[in-house]
Formats: sequence, C-alpha cells, structure tokens
Amino acid sequence: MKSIRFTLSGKAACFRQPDVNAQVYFTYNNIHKVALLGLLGAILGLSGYRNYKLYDQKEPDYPEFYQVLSSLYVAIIPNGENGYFTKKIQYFNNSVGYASKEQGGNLQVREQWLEHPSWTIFLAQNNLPDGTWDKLCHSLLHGQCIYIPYLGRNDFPAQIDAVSMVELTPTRASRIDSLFRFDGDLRALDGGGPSQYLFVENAPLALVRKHNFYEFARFIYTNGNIPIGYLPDHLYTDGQRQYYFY
Amino acid sequence: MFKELLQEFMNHQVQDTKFDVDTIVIQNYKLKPGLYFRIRENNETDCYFVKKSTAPDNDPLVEWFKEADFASTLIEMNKPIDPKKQIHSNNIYTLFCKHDVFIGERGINPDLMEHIDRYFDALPKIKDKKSEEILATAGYQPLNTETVEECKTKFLNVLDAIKDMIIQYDIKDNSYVKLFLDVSLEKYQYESGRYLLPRIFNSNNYNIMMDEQVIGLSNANMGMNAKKPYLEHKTTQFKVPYRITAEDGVLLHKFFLWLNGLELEGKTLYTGYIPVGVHLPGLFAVAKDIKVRSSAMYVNLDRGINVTIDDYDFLPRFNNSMDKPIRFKDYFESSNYPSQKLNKLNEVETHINLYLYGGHLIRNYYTERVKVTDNLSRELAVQIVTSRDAMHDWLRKGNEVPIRSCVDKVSMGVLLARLQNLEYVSALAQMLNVRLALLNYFNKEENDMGYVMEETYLSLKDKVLSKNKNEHIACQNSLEFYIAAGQILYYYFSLSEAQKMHYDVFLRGIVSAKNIQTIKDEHYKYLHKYSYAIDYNNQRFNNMLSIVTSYAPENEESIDRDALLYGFAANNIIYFKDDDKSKQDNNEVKPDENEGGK
Repeated sequence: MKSIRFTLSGKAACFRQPDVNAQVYFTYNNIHKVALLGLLGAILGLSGYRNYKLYDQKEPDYPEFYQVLSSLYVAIIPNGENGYFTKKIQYFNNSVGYASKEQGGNLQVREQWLEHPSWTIFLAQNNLPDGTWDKLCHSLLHGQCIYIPYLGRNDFPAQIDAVSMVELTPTRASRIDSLFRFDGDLRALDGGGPSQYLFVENAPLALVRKHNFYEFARFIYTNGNIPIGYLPDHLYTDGQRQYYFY
Repeated sequence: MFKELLQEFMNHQVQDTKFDVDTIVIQNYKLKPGLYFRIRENNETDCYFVKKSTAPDNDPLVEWFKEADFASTLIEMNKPIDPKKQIHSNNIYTLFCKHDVFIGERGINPDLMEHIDRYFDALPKIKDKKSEEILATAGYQPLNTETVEECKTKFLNVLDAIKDMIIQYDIKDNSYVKLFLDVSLEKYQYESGRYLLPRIFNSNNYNIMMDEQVIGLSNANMGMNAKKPYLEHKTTQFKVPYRITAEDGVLLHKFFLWLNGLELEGKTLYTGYIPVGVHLPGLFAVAKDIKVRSSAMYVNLDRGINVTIDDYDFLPRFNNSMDKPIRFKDYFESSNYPSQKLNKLNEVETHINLYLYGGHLIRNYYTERVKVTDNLSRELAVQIVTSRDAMHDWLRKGNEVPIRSCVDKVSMGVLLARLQNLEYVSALAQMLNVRLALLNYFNKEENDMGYVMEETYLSLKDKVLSKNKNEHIACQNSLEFYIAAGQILYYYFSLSEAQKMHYDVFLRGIVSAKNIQTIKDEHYKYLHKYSYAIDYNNQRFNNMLSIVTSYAPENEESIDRDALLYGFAANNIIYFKDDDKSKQDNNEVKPDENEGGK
C-alpha cells in the first residue's frame, strides 16, 4: 500500500473536547481524525462548516472537507513520551465585546493547551479519487497550501515536515505503534515490562450526517501486547513498526 | 473526558461485583443536616437527626434514609417541582423543606399549607411537550390524582405530631425537615425517574430526535447562557456542544453525586486519581494509594454550589513511587531540617511545600489570585504563580519535563522572594538544602554542589579558628571567598541593634550584585557602619576579613549566589564555640547565635 508520511507539530495546540463548558475547556491529547481531515482540507482549499451559511447555499449533509476526504485512511502516532503531551490551563479574556452581553462585555476563558505536541501521520489513499490523492501528496511534498493549516485554533500554526512517500505492507503483529481502536477489556493488555504505558482516549472518529456531531470511538496507545483476538483490521508495517489505519 | 470517566465508573462493578453504580454512589452519599422522619402506615414515625454531614454508620434506618433521599432530592435548585422553590423534594412520597418553612413563631408556619397544596398540585403536571415525549419513551404513565391525594393526606395527618417532635430538637433554620412515606425503595427509584428524566438535560429546548431517541444538552459542567453567546461552539455545525441520551444524563448525574460525596477519613477530597483498567477498592484514589505504575486519570474538583472538574488529565504511566529517590540532605549541621531520602511523590511534595515554599505552594495550586498577606509577599506570590504548574505537573502527574528545565531558576526565585519575610535564618538554610537536593536530582552528572560547599566551609573554619597570629591567611578560591563573604555579612547583621531584622534589606545589594566589586563595596559599607562594635583584637574576625579582602579574580566571573547564601546561613564561625577554653580567648561568643536563631 502506498502511503505518505509526515511529522505534524507546533508550539501549542488545542482540540477542544465538547463535553464541558462550565469552567475549563479541555483538549484531546491527540489530533483526531476529523480535525486532521479539516487540516488537510485547509491545505487543499476545501470549505468548512460555515461556508453554506456565509454564501447562502443549501445546507449540505457534510462540510466539503469531510465530504471529500472522509474516505482517506489515516494512522496517528503521538511522539511524546508514553504518548503524552504536557498540558497547561491558560486563562485569558475575550474582550472583543460581543462575546459577553454581561456588564463589562468580558468573557473569561480557561482553556487547556498542549505544549509542543508532535505526531507522525501516515495517510493512505483508500477510496479517495486519484485526482484528489495526487493533489494532496503534491501539496504536502512541496509545502504548498491554500489556507493556513493550524492545530485546533488559528493561533497555533501547524508545522509539517519530513514528508515522504512510504510503501507499506499488511501485517498482524501483537504490538501496534500507533493509536488504535480498542473496545475490549483493558486488563487483557500486557507486556511492556516495568516501562509499560497505556493511554486511553475516546476521540471523534467521524461526523454524523446532517447534524455533524462527532461519532466517538475509544483509541488507545500502548507498548503492551494485544491478544490476537483483539487485534483490529487495517494493520500495516513499514518494515520497522506496525500502524493501525482508520 | 466524561466518556473515559464514565467507562471506569460503570466498569467498577466488573471488578467488584458488589458495587453497581447506585451502590457506589450511596456508599458515598451524605445526608444533609436536619431531621429525617419515616412515616409508617399507622402514622407512627421513625426519626433520625443528622447534625452535620456525618460519616455513615451501619444503622439500617440511616441506610434507608440515604437511599430514599438519594432518589428524592432535586438535581439543583433551578429544577424544582414546587414553582416557588419552598418544597425541595421531587416525588409524591416525600416532603422536604427548610426548618423555618415548616415551623413559624407559633407552631406550624401558617404558609406551610399553601406550599404543600402547591407542591402536590404541581406533581402530576408535566412541564411541556418534550418532557411528555421523554416520559412516554421511558414508559411512564401520568400520575393518578387519587394516589397523589392519598399521599398528601398521609403527610397532613402527621404534621402536628411532627411539629411537636421538631420542637424538641434545637435545629437551625437552614437545616432540613424531611418527611418520607414508608414505601419500598423500588417505588422511590421508579418515581425518581419521573422527576429526573425530563429534567436531566440542561434545557429541553435543545432536544432533537435521533434514531428514535431523544438526545439533549448535557447538564454536567455545561451551561448555555443567552448573555454568553460564545458558550456555543461557533465554528462547528453543532452549536450546542454536547448532546447525550437521558440515560447517559442520569448516569452523569449519579457520577457527580458520587464525586460530591468523596472523602477520606472524614475530610472532603478535592484531588485524586481514577485508575484505568485495574481498579482500587473505592475507585477513587489519592496519590499514596498508587503504589505500582498504572494508567490513571487525574482529576481536580472545584467545590462550589455544584462540583466542577477544573483539571483533568490522562496519565498513561503514573506511579507515586519514583524511579529514583531524592536525597534531601542537611548541609548545615542544623538540627531542624530532616535529612531524608524520599521516593514517594506525595512525600516529596510535602517536603518541598514546607521547606522551600514555607507551606504556600499546595494550597495555591489552583487559586486564581494568590492572596498577598503578611506571610506571603508579592514577590513570593509571583514566584508561586510562575512555578506552580511545573511543580504540579511533576508532583501530582509525575511529569518531570516542565520542571527539569526550570528547577534552577524556580528554586532560586522562591528562595530570594522568601528572604523578604524571612523570620529565621535557619529557614534560608532549609531552602538552600531543598534547592541543592533538587539540583542534584535533576542534573545527576554534575558535582554535588552542597558537598563541595560544606567541605569548603569546614576548611574555612579551620583557617579562621587558627590562633597563630603570624600565619598569613589568604583566600584559596572563589568558593571560599563567597562563603566567607556570606559569613562576615551575617556577622555584621548580628551586630545590628534594630528591633526587627530585615534580611532582604541587608542582602538586597549583595544578591543583586553583578560583579565581585559590588559585593566588596557593599561589604566595606557595612564594615564602616559596624566598625565601632568590632574588637580589633578579634582574631577570628580579622582572619575572615583577610580572606574576604584578599580575593581578587583575574577574570570576570559570575557571582556564586548559592555560596554567598550558604555562608550567610551556615553557623557563624566567628561565633563558634569550640571548647570551654575558647571562651577565654574570645569573649564575644554569643551562644544563642550559634543556633542560627532569630
């Protein structure tokens, strides 16, 4: 399987978890598939969620970037120690005036940010039309984009480097070196010795038609061994490590 | 965040079959202060008085009240049954109100009847169409008016008797009076669904149908406020951030009730870990419980009117036991610093909090504005704010990355900031001990700076104590110079007759010095100032002075503040009390000063 690999990093990032808004906005530890597709959409110049409102068009089932790119396969490898990135809660004011109608017009925001995140990303064509795939690879390899790709907020520009084409072959080893879906009992995972780590995150996997909520799935990242029965499909290797594509 | 938390919350039963979700909540459930009455068929009552939120005992009556109360309390005051919010229960079997609503100046409060009528009128009514939909989906039939009246009569029959019993107790106005009918707990649970399901969402205005299920805006740590349009998600298609099913809403509600009741040995818990995969008994753990490496969620709670999670992080590999210990060592021969080898993060935290931050770190981890007081200077507040995240990441989450790069700056910053309100010079010694231990821990390849300073101090001591008047005493190296400079400055300081000692005024010029000349200039200033009090025959002082003045480095060098402060904080050699005979030679010995005291 042909694949394009690159490193995605930045000084900070915030991929908001949608479940709370009372005190602090928390971030996912890793970029999720929907956000990644959005970022690639920016590179290709595809439109986002608000386009139809801005231009008075008919409401589509999905935003353009998702419509076009959702058939792409991705594999995500967090490059932090044990898959973890340092997070810090930032406290700032939104004082533009229209963010709060209370006296003073000030909205206080507390937001958790990732510090120096870095991921290795693999993309594979899957069912993506040839034209779009070639254009995407060309843009990545030549460092070109239509809109500026950023990591969750437009204050955090994304750094994309070490881009290269890689040939992958299917495998089924018991260790997976990328994030992968896992719905089984976590206690079944073992190995890794005293340095074993286990990272778990329920992250957006896809968008729901029309309403465009996230559909979630549980992803884990571990150096433990996965029992054969729990091994997911779509495992590929570059000869050194094994990655899960979804 | 909630998905991971709820997975473990529900999974707990898999690990410990006794604990299903309701049991684990009730185990932590606390009855609010007040009088609890169970009204039996023959109008007799069982009564229980909760004085404060006490720890649960094994009284079956209390257990019964806990379960019935758990099913009958309001989600929050904004979601009442009684439109005027006087009655605080939620079903036909219960009647809760505050003491002053029940009892007036002369017996039963005259308004109580009105409240009870209004409450029982409101119970069978369904708020709106959407609530009706939800109840119908869950299979609830509308309440039968006869049943409602029947229950109401049961309460009215005992009101007078209850009043008499209440008067016997001296309870505060804001304590509760809670009446329960003696029906099975299953009935309570069933009726609680009638209240909870239509109100579990933040607001039914956001409900939508999906796959024949109503989903609505979650109410846990979530709010929509017309005055704050940016609580919506502006750049996604879904404006309302998080929609869930009513069942998930009930689960979240229970999860927060559980969080609300968390305590350890009678103390409310604010911070802790929820292990992932293999659980600990009780599910919620404090740092010292986590003795082996495990994957855990770190949670910090803000306890206001409602519980809010104000910090959350998933730790893929947390262990309270550290991979290698920190050696906290006393480099000063002082008796009030415990030399110890610590390898538990929570113990290291306590140690650093006490000896470096003077007790101000832990309680200010999450304070928005660190309050400046007599004990906590503005400078220290600044230092706490700059360093607390890095300390917290290390000591609570086991993440050394942030502190590793700033430990030098942070420990020196805190130390200098605390000089301002320093009451005892021994506190300076303690801070230096902590700082040196931290530097050793994080830069293992470098020399043990404390050890080198201690050795230099000892050789300095030999020199200064030398009684050979003909010996030429000169400075050997820069370290010796700085320690001697610190020593001699402390000596001047001790001669001061000021009522209140200000270490910061004394040390300001010195610690901000950019080069060695500034230090010497400062030193001369004090020498002139206190020369009247110094005996020119004091050989120890003369020896020390000779060391300080004889040092002149050929090249520019940076100031060794650690050695300077070490010299200042170490037992003063000029005042050293070796044996009895030395007293005769040196009548200036002040024994108290030897302890490095006030």
